[in-house]
Amino acid sequence: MKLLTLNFLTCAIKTCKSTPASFPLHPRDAELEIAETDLNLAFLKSILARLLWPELRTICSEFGLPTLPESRPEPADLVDPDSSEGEEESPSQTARDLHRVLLETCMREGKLVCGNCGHEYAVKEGVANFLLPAHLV
Amino acid sequence: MAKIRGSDHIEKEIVMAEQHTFDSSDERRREEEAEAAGPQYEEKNVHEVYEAIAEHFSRTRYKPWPIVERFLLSQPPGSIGLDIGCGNGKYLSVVGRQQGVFIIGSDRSPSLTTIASTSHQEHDAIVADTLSLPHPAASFDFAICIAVIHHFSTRERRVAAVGEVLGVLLRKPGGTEGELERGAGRALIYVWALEQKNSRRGWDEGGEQDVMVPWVLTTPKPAQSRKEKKKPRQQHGNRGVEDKSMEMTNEDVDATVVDASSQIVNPPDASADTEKPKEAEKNTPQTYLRYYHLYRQGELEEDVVTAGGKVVESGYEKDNWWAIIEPGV
Ligand SMILES: [Zn+2]
Repeated sequence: MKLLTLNFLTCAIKTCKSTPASFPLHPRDAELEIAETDLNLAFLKSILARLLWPELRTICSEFGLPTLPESRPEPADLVDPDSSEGEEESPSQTARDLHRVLLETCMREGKLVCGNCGHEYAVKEGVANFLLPAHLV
Repeated sequence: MAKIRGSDHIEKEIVMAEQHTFDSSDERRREEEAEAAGPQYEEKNVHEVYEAIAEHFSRTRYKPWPIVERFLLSQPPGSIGLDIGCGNGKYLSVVGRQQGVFIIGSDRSPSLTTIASTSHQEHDAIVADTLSLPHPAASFDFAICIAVIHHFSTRERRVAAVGEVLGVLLRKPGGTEGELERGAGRALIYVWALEQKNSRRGWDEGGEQDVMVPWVLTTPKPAQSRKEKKKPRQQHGNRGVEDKSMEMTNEDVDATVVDASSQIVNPPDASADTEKPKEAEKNTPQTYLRYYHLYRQGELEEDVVTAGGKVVESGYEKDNWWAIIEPGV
């Protein structure tokens, strides 16, 4: 599971969803893996605005990953300033860092814990399971 | 779908349009059972079945339907979406980073989810229940929910499922400065229609809406008899694009269909009847019954409105009713 996905996941229990403490979920005993993939600069630029930046920074720091800049980069920050005019834009270091964090860093094993109710969701072989036991539905 | 794993399973098609023998007392019993224990009823009559047939089911699901494709391709770059009930993830291959779109698929079946997440690495997939989605409210630009809602066994649960889909959609023009101005998020929902005059299933207006649809699976013996080798049905193993028969259909073209209140299905096993008993036993096809609620005309729109949504566009395509919906005001 990609860290980008974690930016759109919260507790599955209805009474939790509306509480701020349920988002983002907290990793526990996490095993990460890097799955390399091609960087698509246009894609990164287009999803920038859809990221919940402070929460993404929290996720990164809880995984022990390098800290992301305090404020959300602008699309222009993702372009290497040395890209020569007329040529295809090349990604800046910020873009490469973001690509690595959002799309190449995957949670392979571990748990995701709700900060409100403490419920733990298992992640196995890269797939998180949000099915709830009957008494919590 | 690029990644199709080989398998020993072969599908046995039953071409038999069984008439529904609608019995009102049986039907009442089914309704009572479903209402008393919707989740347990669906666990046994939907989820366990998909889990058991996941691999085979997945190999027959590879061609996206045109309206779904059109809906996905119409999403502007920077759209984040959900594929609720993604199955093997066949719609996760329609759009990707090239189009600036990211999708999180979810399915109740861990086996199907694993297939989806390993075959469509541009996106992601999680195991989740449509009635308890683990997503923050009002966060997504779009959602698709294809061939899912008809598996809920009471109207209350079907409306709740539509409500859950509406709940994850963005509610108003949002986003930060400089972003393309967005309207509310939209979802495309597909359900199986009762009105299927042109299909071999024999359903039509006025018929029973709650039905059990079998999925028949056989596991052949390691060394197949000549008789079996000659059977044309093995084409399912790896159908090429030249076979158009599956691409527009929803599910199980040749399924035997029985009333949801019926308890037993005895699939005729033409291949085994001349085998020695021991061999025949090994090759007995297993029949899995899945529960479906067949939507009559107008019913999907009614459910959407009851769930608090607005129907933007709706229609009928190849045995299915579909609707593009958004959260109401
Ligand atoms: Zn919680």
